[in-house]
Amino acid sequence: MDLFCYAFKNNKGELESPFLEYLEKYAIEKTDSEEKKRKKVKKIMNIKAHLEYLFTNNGKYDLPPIVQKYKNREIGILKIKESDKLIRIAFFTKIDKQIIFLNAFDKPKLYEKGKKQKVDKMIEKILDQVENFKLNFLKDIVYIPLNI
Amino acid sequence: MKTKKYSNIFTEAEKHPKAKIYLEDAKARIRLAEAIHKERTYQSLSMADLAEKAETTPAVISRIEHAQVSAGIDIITRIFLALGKTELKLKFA
Repeated sequence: MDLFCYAFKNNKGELESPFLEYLEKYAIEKTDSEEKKRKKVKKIMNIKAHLEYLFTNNGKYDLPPIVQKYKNREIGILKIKESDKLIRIAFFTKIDKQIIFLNAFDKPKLYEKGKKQKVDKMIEKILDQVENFKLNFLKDIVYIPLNI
Repeated sequence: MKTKKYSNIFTEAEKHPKAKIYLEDAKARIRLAEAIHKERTYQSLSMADLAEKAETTPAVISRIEHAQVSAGIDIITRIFLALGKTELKLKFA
């Protein structure tokens, strides 16, 4: 089973991956304090553990509650709670071949009253975009390999 | 085609002395989450049912099943006893 990140050609003519773009925010900077580095490492290792879990289970969509197929869409969602963040990683699986990571986003928490509808709408919008990424991938097969 | 430059966040993070411990902790939370979720759904219990039996709250069960928290041995014991399990087998690697 291979791990791929969906990619597209950006306006500079480079291959760009929405999933790798998302992960960049956890990149350790030389200017980070030791405590900040430690916190980032903890988050990255939590993400890695979840990715490995998905990999070990051959990219199955039905591993509740950590992995679930999103409603009626042929897209799997890997759900990670990382300190105060709810990370969602959208992917799809080509059976016994590849897991393709399409994008990732932070799901807002639903503390405020009446916020659920707004959040649901936002997620649907992101998933519409993710579905387009999937169609693009199936058409053009452009990707960046992911090493975890 | 040229690829945009990305940091290899996993390789970089693994250089940190605590990386391995954090990875194993996260894996343990996932294994525990999976074990409890499987048994609870096999027994057709809701989170609220299990929480009541284990004298805790549905929110605690939810957080454990989503691998969000490192549960203490006291709560793990109560949950497994509530599920009628007197033995717990977990793979640690």
